[in-house]
Amino acid sequence: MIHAAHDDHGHGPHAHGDPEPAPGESIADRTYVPAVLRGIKLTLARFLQKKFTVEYPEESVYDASYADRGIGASNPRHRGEHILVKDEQGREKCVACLLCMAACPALCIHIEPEPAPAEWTDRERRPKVFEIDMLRCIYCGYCEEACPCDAIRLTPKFYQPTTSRTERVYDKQRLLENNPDAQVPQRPRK
Amino acid sequence: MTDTEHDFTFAIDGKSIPARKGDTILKAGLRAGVFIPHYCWHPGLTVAGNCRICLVHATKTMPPGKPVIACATQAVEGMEVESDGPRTKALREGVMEFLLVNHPLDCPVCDQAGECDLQQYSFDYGRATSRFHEPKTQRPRKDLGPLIRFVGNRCIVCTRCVRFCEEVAGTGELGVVGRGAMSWIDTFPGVQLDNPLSGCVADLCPVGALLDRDSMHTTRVWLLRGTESACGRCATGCNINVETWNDQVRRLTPRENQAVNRWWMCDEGRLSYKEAQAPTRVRRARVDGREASFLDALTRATDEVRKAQGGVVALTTGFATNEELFTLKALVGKGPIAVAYAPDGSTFKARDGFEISRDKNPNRKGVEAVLGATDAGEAAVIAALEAGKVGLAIVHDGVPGGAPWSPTLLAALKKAAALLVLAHDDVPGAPAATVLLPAMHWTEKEGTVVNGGGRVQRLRAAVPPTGDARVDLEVLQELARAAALQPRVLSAAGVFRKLAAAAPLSFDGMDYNGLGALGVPLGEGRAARPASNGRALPVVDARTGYEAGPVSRAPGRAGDEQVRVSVHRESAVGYGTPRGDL
Amino acid sequence: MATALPTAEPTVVERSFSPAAEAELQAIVKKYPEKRAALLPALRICEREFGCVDHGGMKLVAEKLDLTPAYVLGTVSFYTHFRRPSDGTFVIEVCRTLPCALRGADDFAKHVSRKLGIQPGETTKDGRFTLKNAECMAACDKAPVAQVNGYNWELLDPKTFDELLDQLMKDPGSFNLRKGCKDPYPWTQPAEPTAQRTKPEGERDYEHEALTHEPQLLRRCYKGRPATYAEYVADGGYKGSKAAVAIPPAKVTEMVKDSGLRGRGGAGFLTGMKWGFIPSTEQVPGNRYLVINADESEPGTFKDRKLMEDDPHLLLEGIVIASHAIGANDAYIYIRGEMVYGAEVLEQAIAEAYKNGVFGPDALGFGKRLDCVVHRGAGAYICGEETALLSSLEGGRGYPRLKPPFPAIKGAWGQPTIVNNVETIANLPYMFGAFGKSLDWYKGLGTPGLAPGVDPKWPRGRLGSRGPKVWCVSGHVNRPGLYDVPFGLSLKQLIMDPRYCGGIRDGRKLKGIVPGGSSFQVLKADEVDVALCYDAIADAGSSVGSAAIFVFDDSTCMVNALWNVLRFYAHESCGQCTPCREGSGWMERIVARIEQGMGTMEDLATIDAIADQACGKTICVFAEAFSWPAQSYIKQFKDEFVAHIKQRRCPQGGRLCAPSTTARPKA
Repeated sequence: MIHAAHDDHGHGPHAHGDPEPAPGESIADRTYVPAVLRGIKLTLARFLQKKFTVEYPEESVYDASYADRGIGASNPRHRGEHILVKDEQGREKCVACLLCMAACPALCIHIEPEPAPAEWTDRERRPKVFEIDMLRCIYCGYCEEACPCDAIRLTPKFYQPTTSRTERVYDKQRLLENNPDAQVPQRPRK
Repeated sequence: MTDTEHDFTFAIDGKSIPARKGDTILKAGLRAGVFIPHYCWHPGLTVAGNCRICLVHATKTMPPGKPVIACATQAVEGMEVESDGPRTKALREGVMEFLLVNHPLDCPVCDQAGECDLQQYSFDYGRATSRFHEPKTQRPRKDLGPLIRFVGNRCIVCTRCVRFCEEVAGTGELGVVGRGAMSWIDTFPGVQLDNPLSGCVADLCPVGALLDRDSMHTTRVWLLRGTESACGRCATGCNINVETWNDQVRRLTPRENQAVNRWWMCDEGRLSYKEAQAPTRVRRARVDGREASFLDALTRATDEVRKAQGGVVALTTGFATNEELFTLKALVGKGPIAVAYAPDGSTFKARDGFEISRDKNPNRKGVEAVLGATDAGEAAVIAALEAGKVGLAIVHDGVPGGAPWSPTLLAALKKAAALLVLAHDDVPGAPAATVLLPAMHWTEKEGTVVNGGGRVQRLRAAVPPTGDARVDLEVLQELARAAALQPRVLSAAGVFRKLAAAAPLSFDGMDYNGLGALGVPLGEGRAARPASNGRALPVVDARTGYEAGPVSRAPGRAGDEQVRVSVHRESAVGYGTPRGDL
Repeated sequence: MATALPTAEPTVVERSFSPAAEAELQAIVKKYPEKRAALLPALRICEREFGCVDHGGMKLVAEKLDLTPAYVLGTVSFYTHFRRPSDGTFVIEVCRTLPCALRGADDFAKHVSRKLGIQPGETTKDGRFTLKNAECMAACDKAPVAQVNGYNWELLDPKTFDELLDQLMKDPGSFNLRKGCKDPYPWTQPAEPTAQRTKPEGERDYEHEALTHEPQLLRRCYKGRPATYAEYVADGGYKGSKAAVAIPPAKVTEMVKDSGLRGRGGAGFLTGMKWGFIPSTEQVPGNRYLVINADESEPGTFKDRKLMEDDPHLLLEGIVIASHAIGANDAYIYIRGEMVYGAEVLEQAIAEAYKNGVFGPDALGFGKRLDCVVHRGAGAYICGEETALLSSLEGGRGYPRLKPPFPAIKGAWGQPTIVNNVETIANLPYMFGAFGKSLDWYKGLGTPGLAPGVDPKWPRGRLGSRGPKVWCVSGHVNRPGLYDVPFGLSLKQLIMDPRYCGGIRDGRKLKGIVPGGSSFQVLKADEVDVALCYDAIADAGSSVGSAAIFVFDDSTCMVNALWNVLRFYAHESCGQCTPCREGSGWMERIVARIEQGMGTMEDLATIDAIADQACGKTICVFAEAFSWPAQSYIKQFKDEFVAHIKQRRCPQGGRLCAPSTTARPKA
């Protein structure tokens, strides 16, 4: 029994002879009816209200129509799927230094370097194989921090579920480079 | 002189260091386990003294108070050297800063990353920040030879490569050209760097200026797992590391063994791992000409050996390990064995005693020691075959490219009731085998071989056999058990034990695990202790599985944290800890 | 396997020597104990035979001398003074080092470039002229200086250069390139022979001694041609060597020690003590060698050139005495490659000497042979360092060697060797009776060091300065040139007195003086009233060095001057050891930035740090050579450096100094 924390000046429950029942002990309370009615009222009200639910994965989490609910505005710092960044000539910036592979705590990156084509006079190597197992990845962003070339970035793109594990091994840089939904955050140039 | 004999003592950082007459501070210090950084000094080359990273403060020098380079300063009785103190720290920081001034920020694309002395000493002794805000000098980048690429910007002009080509290889293809900060290494136009040991300059180069083109841009050093083995390209049997990644051999590098290959290995041996990856490799077993699973083929082979009931002949090569030879000998019993040797090839004698053997069979001496035969028993085998008494002929041909069997021998094989062939490569002209099994390359085998100098050395398997195959020794052992010659299939260690016990062979007294990393000469099994080359146990970073290269390369540096490693007793013996010490 | 990099390799033309050249090469090889030592001379033969040193010539020389082609290539690429295949008929090298720059060499170089229509490093399209920037030609008092095919052309200005060029274009074949040397400032008389003493009797009056001193070392110079053997003997020459040869070698060394002679090449080490380090033949059997360091490359120094070109026999007589003292039978004169005329003069004089028995099978008496060989360098300042000189002499890149072992124990070809400067050796005849002089006379000249009886702790301590001395003055004085005055005269007086240099040009004020060559510290105007001797100048914070005094007037930008000096050192660093190879270029780039207005205050601290991290940590003292001027100029003229940094520009607009307004003498 909870007693109200105030001085009831003699008007409280046990002040007079015939006391009011304590909360939760009145007939109404004991039959649960008013409470149930209150609940149904709430349910019906909500039933007719606009929903928060995002029908993921058919709907994107970052649909702007949900902005008024306080969700959905893409947080540019959210660490989602990776992209391999391209330079002005459309080549991947990655020089296959394997630092991201070494930094990854989950050991989910697999890279095999190869010598760059002879026409690429500004760099010596590039990745022959670049695979990230997106299921093992913990999206910590260490690879992005380790990269000396700004070649790998985590975009806020929420992952799209697949039906098999192998689909979630993003193989070959091509797949990683094609992320049209990716909102690549702009970095200010010094 | 053994390790403990010395002529006098001096002190480094208060620790007493035994030294022999004529020792420099650096040499005596390294021998005693005190590490002093160095770039241009190498135990196999003359002293240059130009990198200055080994500067230390020492007493009894002239003029007093001036720092001296440890690699060129003779130690004297009672000298006190400061190598781990604030003054020496400042010296090293200074030299490191100078080295990094014009050095490009190439670590992400430089293959030396992970085994680069510049990186290591920068981490250990360098400044954290740079004060250099100027444009850096640019120097040429070119291929000096078929195996070596030179990246001029990274060169610190330590001249190890120049001295190597002059003093060891004797060919002198390299020279320092230019002057001052615009100095770099170059060859004369038209004279490439192509001496038989040219790959060693890439090993020697402390930074990523000279790179091995074969393994360039294909992997990272910290991903490589090294296995100590012996090269099978010729009878020299250089001690090497077989470095693999994802169960594929990526490169071979030499290990130091003063009795065999000093610190070097030749280019042919360096590239010989490619033999195991050749497209002509036999990969699938075949029974009666049709592909079959290995197990099926092995079962058929054991059936044939049981049927043969002792009428077995064998053909083998100078590439078989001692254990395989011993098992073959048991299999044929009183029957003949023919041995085909690969023909002689090119030889080369370096100026410091290193020699590429003309004999391209890694285990000819082993054949002589195990089989007791110095001549091929080809005639006896042909005779047995012609007489029709052969139930099973075993051809064990582990030679990459095939051994030079004589055509008459190959023709006579048709007379065998059954023919079991273990082949490394498809041998054209060989008759159709009843069972064909893949034979393993020496990078894939466990066993021992005897090099041209009579030294018994361990081969260690660096990669597992491909597919469902098993190593040759297992196959032969299965056959031996099937022929009721022994109750159990033995490992290489087990076979070696039997081999060593079979006196009066020269393996008497040798212990398989006791052969260590450096091998034991024939006939010295009783006397020799396993020689340790001073290497620490390779410390594997358990978290990542990467081999922590620099930690294991530099013995006993001050400041090393305690690393606790648990090893099996047998492995510990293999690394040079005598049994009694455990 | 990574695909090969495309490389454009030059084609190697096969070459062979004519029979005459072959014979010459064989004759040269015989003069050295090892074949390899003939490398530099062999390359000079290539230069002559094929017109340049190209890959074909290098390959040929490699074959002839049992060397690898890469070794020869490394050697050729180290030196600057070999003719390259791209060089034109006339190679014009304009000196840009500080003493010349102080006299307008930069403007002159611009004029030359404009006139020829090419930039330094390029060749004219018709292949006639190649223009190169070069370093100090040892003719600093006659700046601006250029070399044409190795012969000096001095006191140049745009007009005289244009005339020269016209002659070269009109009549290249018959033009005498040797006519370019000038003698505008001969010093053959005492400054004031009748000067009176100003100090009381019994006290040394150095000023009086200097004013009345008869030039000794320069006595036979300034004739416009070398003094002949006959002239030299008539003057009293070769009396010293004849006398010395009759004295036991140990006694000769003692006498030289007693004389107090100190090395004149820059280090100032007691010569007699150095000779005393030569071990006995029981300790170290085999040959001993005397090597003369005639690689005069320290900017501001030009005394050895004069002595060799005008009075070669003085050097040769000294060689006889020194060889006798140390037991050498072979003397090699390593003369810098740029001194083409000097080498010719020496060869002639040596031939004369051989004819007259000065050298030859019995030159030292008792059947002891003495042979003298001129070995030409090929353009490298570092070859003035004794061990680098030995490396170059033995045939190869001029890399200094680790010391210990010192050359006196293990020098040329592993044998005990003494390396002495030209002027040092030229001092010797006077001690043994040449020209009517004596050891007592010699000791009477100069300033004393420690009080007698006090033992110096370190050989470079306060040991006094003895004997005659030639001082080289260049820069902003009215009368630059060589001054044969003994030690003790005030530096300020030497510069300001009208009987000597006559003060600062154009009526300007003195700003600073470097007394010993570009490797040493600068003294400010208020610090220069100091006696010209080793001890006093060391106390003042600098050094006598090679006695190369250059003078800055108040129009000089010290930052620009330092940049000039550091450009020299960055170019001349041999590159063997890390601190110097990287530090010299780094320091040069920092000062370049400061001069161009892009410096910061941290840069000054960085320069100090570079100097600290390099000095004492290198194989030779080149690190000190570029660190001392840097630290000194910054310390002495800090406000100028700070002004460049704070104002973000050179307050003088990037000029080193104001051009001269007074006319220069013609001849």
